[in-house]
Amino acid sequence: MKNFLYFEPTEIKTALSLLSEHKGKAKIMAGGTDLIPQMKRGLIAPETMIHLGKISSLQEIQESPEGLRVGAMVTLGSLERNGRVLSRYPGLQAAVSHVAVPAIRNSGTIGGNICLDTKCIYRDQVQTWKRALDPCFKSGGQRCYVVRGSKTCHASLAADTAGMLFALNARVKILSTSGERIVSIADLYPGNGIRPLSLLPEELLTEISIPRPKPNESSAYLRYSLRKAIDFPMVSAGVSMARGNGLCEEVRIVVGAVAPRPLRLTGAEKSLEGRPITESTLRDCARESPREALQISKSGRIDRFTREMISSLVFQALKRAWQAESLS
Amino acid sequence: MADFSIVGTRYGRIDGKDKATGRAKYIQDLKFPGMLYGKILRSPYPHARILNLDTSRVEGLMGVRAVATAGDTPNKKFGSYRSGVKDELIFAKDKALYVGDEIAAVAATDEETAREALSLIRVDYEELPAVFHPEEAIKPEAPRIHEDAEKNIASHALTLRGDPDKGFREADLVLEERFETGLQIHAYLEPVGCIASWDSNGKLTIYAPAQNPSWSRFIYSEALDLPMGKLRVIQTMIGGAFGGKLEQKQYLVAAILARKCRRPVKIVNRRDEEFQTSMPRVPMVVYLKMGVKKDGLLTAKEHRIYADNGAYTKYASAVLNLGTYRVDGLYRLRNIRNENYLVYTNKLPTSAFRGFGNPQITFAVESMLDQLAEGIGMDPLELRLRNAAEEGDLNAHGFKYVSCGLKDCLKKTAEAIDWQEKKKRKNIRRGIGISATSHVCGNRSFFPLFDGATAYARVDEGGKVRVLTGEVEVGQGLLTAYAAICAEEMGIPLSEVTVEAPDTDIAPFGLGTWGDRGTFIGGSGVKLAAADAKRQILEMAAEMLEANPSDLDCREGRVFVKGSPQKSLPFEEVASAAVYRRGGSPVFGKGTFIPASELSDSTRYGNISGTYAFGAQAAEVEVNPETGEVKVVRIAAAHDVGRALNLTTTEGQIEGATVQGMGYALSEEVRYEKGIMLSPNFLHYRIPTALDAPPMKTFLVETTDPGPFGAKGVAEPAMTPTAPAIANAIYDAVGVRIRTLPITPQKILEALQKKG
Amino acid sequence: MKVTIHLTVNGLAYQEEVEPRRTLLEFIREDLELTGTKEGCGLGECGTCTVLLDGKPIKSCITLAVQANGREVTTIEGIERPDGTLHPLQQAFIDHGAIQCGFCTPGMVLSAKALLDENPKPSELEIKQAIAGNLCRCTGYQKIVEAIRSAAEGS
Repeated sequence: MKNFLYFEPTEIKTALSLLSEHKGKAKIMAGGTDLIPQMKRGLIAPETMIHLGKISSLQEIQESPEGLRVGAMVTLGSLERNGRVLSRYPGLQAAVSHVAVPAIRNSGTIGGNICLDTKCIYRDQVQTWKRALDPCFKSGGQRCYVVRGSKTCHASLAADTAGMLFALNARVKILSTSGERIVSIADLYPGNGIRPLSLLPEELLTEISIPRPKPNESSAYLRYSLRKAIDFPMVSAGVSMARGNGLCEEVRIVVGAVAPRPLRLTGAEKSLEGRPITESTLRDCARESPREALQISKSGRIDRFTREMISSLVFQALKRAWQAESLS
Repeated sequence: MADFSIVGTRYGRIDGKDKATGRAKYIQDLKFPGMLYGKILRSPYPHARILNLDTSRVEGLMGVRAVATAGDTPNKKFGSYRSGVKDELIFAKDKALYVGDEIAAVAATDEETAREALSLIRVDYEELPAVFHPEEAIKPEAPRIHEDAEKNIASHALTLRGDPDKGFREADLVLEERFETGLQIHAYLEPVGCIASWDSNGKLTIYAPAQNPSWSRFIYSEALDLPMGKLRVIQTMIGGAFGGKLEQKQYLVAAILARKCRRPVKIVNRRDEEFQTSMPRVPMVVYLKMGVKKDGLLTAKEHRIYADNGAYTKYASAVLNLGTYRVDGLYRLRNIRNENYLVYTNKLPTSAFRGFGNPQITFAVESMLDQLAEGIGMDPLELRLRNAAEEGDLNAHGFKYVSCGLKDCLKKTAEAIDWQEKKKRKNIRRGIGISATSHVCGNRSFFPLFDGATAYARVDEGGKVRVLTGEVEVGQGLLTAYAAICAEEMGIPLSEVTVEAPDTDIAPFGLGTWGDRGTFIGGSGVKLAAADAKRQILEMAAEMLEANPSDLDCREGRVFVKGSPQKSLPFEEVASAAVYRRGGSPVFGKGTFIPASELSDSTRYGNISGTYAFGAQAAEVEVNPETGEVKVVRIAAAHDVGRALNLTTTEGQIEGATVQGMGYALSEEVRYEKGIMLSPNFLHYRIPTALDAPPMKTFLVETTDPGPFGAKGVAEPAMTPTAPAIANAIYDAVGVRIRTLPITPQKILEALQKKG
Repeated sequence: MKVTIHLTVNGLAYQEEVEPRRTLLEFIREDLELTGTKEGCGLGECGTCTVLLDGKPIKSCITLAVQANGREVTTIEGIERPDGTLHPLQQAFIDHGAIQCGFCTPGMVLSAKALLDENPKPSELEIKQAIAGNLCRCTGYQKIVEAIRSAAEGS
């Protein structure tokens, strides 16, 4: 790796002024589990690194009647082990525990996962070997290899927690020297494979807040990858559902990893809301999901196999959320 | 059952403590004073003319001590031993033939400087059209890779036994299919590395995790134009090999750099480099035709294989022309036509990988066997048992099966997987499949000068025994097996024996670890050496006990008079007496084992191995018909090992090989774009994790074998039956047969949708 | 620019100056010359570089040395007893054939140790999940799982 200036501020405001001062040449380092490999591959070479590990206010977890607030620097591992807190959010528990492998989760943070760069096999290459291959859009070039002839980048937003948090209606707090903004997590993902986050270079994501689920609400997350560990998901489905009297009162269905942003399937949701739930209504809903996912994303990753996977995972997530016990 | 005190039990590995505590040193852990770090510049193009190579900007960089290019080498073409082809140079000179081809190298005081120096080397390439698949490369219009290889054919061989055409005429059912297997990367966890060092008399020492230290020197000698006597290879602890750590170009580059700057040079592959330049399993396109009679008798077999050599010829020709024959004896085929084409492509050179061609051809044959069984309405297990080889067989290629437990293996695995019951009650998502294999234990054809092994057992004045062998521990537990054989033979505790990794200056000339020969051949040498040492000890003890040597024996570290065991002496006491009374000379036992193998003739007919190993595996899978996802529910493996010297390590070999086989079947795939490997890492090259490995049940079938204490080999054959067993199980579950590896969910889904 | 870090490695305190870009793996292997921790891939994908940071397994090849400032590192060299007796996991690995080539062993043992320290009686699934990030190409994992289970039962 190339040398860099290294800062370890102990307060958020110091981190923010450093970010502002280094105007785009600085990278925020959380656990480093994606940043360092990218640097070792030669894909990025920041001049300045601002490590947030010493800012204790970013590592807090707060529960309240409104919901859960998780500091961006809370590690996935500590979140995973916090069964009590996550008992209300089984979908989030599943999403967190599926990231990579335990050793990555012990360093990797929830903020880091939410802000994870999009992934693509054509882009994530050690630089020595790329000379004979024209760079793709994400690498600064003029083409996409996932969809030949495409005018856009089809990198995948593969972070497990992104889609699930979207289904849980999470919001994120973003700070900069100019102030604070709180937006729905969906607003973080404009759907651009090259630059998947709407964060400005001087902005810092500091906190995730998840509204407290109603007692009749439950969530579920499933993902598909060829191996049962290490791999990023190829497809994921996050569901949050409120049930009552055999009816689906409210549901949020988000498909992840198949596009540069998580895809909320409002059409599928409407087809279920207010209707009695049976296995067959869930299956019908799941069967329509791939078409909607493709329609709203136009993603080149949604081939025949991926469509079957979307259908299968959405069905299983719906079923799991439907059958889960109610919270006290 | 003979009465052994060590052999056949579960004694611990003699290197276990070092490995468990982090004391074990691998090449990456070694450092010498004054050592420099080397890095290799590699071609980024799959096929290109090298127009200009300019290293001038490097020379000025602080910390650089040597830059090497083709001009620093003898520029003599060389090749893998006995391949008959010499198509390699240390550095590519006129053309680069694959992405990864060595172009130049630097040695510097630290790795970062070496890397920076590489970036300062200017190379002008003229890109040439490239070809990546053997069936494309063999077309007349394909770009020529090597000037002297027309149609890019590196070798072509045709073998005929019996009368296949008659066999097909007599068949009631004849099937023809095309199968294709892909690249499989060894993916051992320890990257290849070396330290090369020249002494002041022009002798080169290479420290490296070498599987074949003795004879790899033949190749290095030729490439460096250096007499063998000036070449020393010291084998460092190996972190996995599976056939991938035979000769390495990297060692030659390090030697050239070291000679230029007169300092030791260390090179260790970065992992992506390791993937890009390793020498993976030979991909094969197999056109297979087989015939069977209604009653289940197989009548004929014909194959035409297009094998992917990659850009240079390593062991792919042996893999193709020797390795694809073993399956023929499995089911007593007598009418055989095998046609093999080895074809160059602009990809990394392919070579030896556990199984050595057997997994590729067995995938085809064992898949087809199930198809034939279905075609004549016979149970696949019954069809196999009907035709299975037996002890005493002389197969169509001249292999003598002096011991054979094949039928037992088949029956045991079938029983373990509940074959009869599962076949009766059909579950639409679950299926079972079975497959068998046969393998050599050594291979005479490899080294015509001799086949066999020599070992020394050196007993010192403290009664400690040191075994010197030319064979190599790659992780399989070989040194432990040798220590056990020695201790058992001599009648002393295992703790008194150590086994040295070969240093070619000291060790006997060893053929190395490949061809499943380590235990059977190497171990036999050790047993003879131990017996010789014991004889000398007993002679000394006879003097001390005033007895006849033939009246003495040694057990549990005591030499005693048979019949009056109270007349005894501790082993160490006899040993020290022997040393001191003979002017300080240690008791030196020497043993040479030459197996009853023969050189094959020009048609490849001959009993090339002293014995043959057999095995069978059965798999149960669950397939999701909506998505094509496969879950391997369990695997049962039964292997004919002669006698298991150590139950634990033998099981460990089978379990490890089976998981590799499962990866080969389902998840390991190399992705390419324009000759550039897109998956040179553990993220995209998917070897199974602990969560992916299925429950496995292992059975060791013991037969009476001429090996040491009756042992045969198991390490290689254990990988072969897994993929076909899984493929057959998938067919049994959902009725689709995938004939290309890996069998991905996408392929299953597509096949299911085509089926309708 | 160098940064001073204070950390404990296997119970011993260190104060060192490191470049921020130095990985914890480089620091352990080269500066401290503890070569039991291995480099298998350099990108955090294989697990051979696993060490414990405040008792939790992490991938040292993608962790900066500066991230270990003020923390406790445990490598494979640090788990045997001062008198040289092996940790029960190490002994179990040897006894159960969980070691073949040995290259994955240091990382594997540490991941297992962290598991048993937190969960003394894990299920088979929990064991496999704990070592899911430690690749092994030799053993097929079965005997590794048996060794860990045996060490758990023995405790």
